[in-house]
Amino acid sequence: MKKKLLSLVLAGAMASSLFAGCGDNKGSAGGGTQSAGGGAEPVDVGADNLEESREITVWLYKDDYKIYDSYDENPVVQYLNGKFNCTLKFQQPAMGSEKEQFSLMLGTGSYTDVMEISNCQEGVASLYEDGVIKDLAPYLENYMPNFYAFLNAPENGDVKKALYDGDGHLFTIPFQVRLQDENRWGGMVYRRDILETMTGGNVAFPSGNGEPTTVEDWDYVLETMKTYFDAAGLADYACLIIPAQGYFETGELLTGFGVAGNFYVQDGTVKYGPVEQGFYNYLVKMKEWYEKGYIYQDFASRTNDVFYLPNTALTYGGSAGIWFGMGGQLDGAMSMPEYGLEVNVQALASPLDTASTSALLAQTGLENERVAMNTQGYVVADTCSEENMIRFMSVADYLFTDEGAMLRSYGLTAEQGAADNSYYAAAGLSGGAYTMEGETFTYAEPLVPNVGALCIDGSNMSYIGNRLPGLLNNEYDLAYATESVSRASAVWKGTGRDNNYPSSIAFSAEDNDKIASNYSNYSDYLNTMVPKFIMGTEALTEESFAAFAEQMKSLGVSESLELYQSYYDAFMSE
Amino acid sequence: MIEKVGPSRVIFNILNYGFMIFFSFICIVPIWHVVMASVSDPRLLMSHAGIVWKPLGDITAEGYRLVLQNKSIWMGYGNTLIYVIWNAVVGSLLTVIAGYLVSRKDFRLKNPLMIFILFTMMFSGGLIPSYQVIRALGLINNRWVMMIPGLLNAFYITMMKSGFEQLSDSYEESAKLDGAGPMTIMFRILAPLVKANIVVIVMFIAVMQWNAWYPASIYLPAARDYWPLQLFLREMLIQNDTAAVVMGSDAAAAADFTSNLVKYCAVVVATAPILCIYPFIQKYFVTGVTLGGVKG
Repeated sequence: MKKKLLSLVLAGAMASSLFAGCGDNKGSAGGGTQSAGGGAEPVDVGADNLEESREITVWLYKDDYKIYDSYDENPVVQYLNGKFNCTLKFQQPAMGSEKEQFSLMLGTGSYTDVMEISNCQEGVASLYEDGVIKDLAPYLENYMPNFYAFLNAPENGDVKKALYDGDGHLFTIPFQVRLQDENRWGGMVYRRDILETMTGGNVAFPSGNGEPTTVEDWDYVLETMKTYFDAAGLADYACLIIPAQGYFETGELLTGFGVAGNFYVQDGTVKYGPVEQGFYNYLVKMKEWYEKGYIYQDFASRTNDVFYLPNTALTYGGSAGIWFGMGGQLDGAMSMPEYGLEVNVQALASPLDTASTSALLAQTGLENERVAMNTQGYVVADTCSEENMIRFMSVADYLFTDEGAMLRSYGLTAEQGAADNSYYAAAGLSGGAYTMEGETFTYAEPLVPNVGALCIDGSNMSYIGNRLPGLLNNEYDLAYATESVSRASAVWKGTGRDNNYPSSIAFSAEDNDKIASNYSNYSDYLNTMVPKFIMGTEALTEESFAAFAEQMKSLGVSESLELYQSYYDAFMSE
Repeated sequence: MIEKVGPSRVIFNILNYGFMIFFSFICIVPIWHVVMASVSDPRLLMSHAGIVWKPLGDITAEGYRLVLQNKSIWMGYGNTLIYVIWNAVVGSLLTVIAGYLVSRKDFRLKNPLMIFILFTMMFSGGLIPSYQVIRALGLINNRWVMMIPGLLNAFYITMMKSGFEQLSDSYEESAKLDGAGPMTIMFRILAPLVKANIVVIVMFIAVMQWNAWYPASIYLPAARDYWPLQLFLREMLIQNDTAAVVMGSDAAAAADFTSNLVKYCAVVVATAPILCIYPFIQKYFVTGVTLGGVKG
């Protein structure tokens, strides 16, 4: 009897531990009333009294700042603290623990006043429904007039659309809204020097173009590379490296076959690449290349490689022909002259499958878009006092002005007290991070991109405020980009992103869960089957692919497609 | 008399030694690989596949220079030493006391107390309740969070209890006849007899504390000055993993190969001290857990 009782008590204890940590839900929160059809009635909670000093706690993930440990010490933050009579006190978890720490903060209810949410695994709508964050929409007009004006400017409709939800809520002060698209940082690259060597400098692609553009061009390139590597007697080499899952989710190669690696839009219809006919055409070609020995034979086992740094032993060892590369690898950057390795790496567009399509799909999963997302930026905790909230809004609002955007993006000027900042002074930036003479922007010498001492040691980002909310003025930085990077970026961007599924569409918490659940159901099957089709361990025919596509749809692709379509339609009709 | 060694013994010895050599080799190879990689040419290291048997290219100490010039490393070393010494000394002292207490046959609360202790070994409240308790105690971002909550370990108490229980009652009885009190019996009579157990527990605590980074990452988010070495090193490893991403995101940036080297150097720096201490205490491990009090 005693034993039974003990067992019962222990079982009870175990069961009760399941509920441990369940906090109280304060229910729906947020200030202001929503007007019908979106937008919000402005709320006035009194003027921000700048005479009164405020301490505002901010949760932010950590970077390698090189010159200081905490963002509290960031020169731009210190300047803003002085300007707005406040102390932005950053709480930053150890690198690698961000998601866990954010979840812990949500679980324990001990929120900071303001939280950067890119490590939050829940959507902002769900945070709002749980009473964790405030709806900022009613406060914008009175307390963030510059941001409000920015959002309502006709040319910024895309940003506004991305940040407001269908009910007129706005939860996120965006992390960085770019004034212009960035250069793209990576894409497919190839060893041009191999072709030059093998043809004696007379490279002639079947398409007649100066660069490989069609599948036939790639056939020629890969065959030439294989001949080269075979002749070199290399034990291990790869003419083409593809990811372990057999395709690039970001769309490389696939767009040449008219499909994307994920959800995309074509003529108003949302599609999922891996179940489309173009994907079959892609698989047929990859299988052919695999059988010919063009694709790295052990590609499916390289599950630990990140797609942008595949098999570095081969790429950096001079034994790879085509792979997903980065801007820093272009031209002769990967050469090792002391070991007799001279390479010339150039950007490469997806191979156009002329037999099935006439143009690359205008889709890319990588581009640093101008459009803001409500999943990246700062939210205000429901527990934050109104005084702290409006002070933070004042600070953030300033960073949406031209002057604030320059401060945030390029750092302190002499007029803003660069000489008084110890980090600036120590780095030889007493005259400011840059100077403007009329319309001419000039970086201070230590910060000149690629050649300045602070850029070389990687500390340049520590002098600006790029982790704060606000506008990112990248106009002058783009002018400093090297010619080869700009050229490569143009190749990688391809034909644009008209077919991209809008990244700013926000799903409700419930639908988000459905989509995530579907993804976990079908992704395992997809990532198992694709390598098998390519390696020939699974028969690849029209019929077997149709069966595969049907199975994918039944595993959740169909339901997700319906959800994507309905949200897309609603988004477009707004 | 010379013992004659039969063929079966010879075969056994060959297999035995062969297996042990093979096993040792497997244990040593990863350490060797890391040490050799840490002094290799970083660019060649990037393009090398498989185990590094000897330094690649010219031997370089650049990685060590980068690791050791990081002031956080020294601060982390200092903190780790504090935590290791405190937990090893105070923790093992408390473990001895607890083990002695629950091993006494005449202690009436022995069984309930043991159930209470074992309960904590089997059931945990979970991270969030633990965090809430720690927060309520005012220990978040406080150095003592690394020094108080983990002082006692239920498993070590049961180990200590077993050690004391294996001693003959006659030790305690004779000490009592000589007029010794409980403290004298525990510290001067019985504890020296379970010295091996205590050394093993001290070693376990020291190694565990040396490697601990998780509690600090949870409870000291805004108190970097109190972080142990391992948390700094972990951050350094992650930084240098993500350096590749940063390198990628800045399309114009040249590749920084030293970040690859730093990972290996950080592992060596973190492991070397504990590896140096281990051989000196190793002899206690063999007898530590099973030693009894009465011989022959």
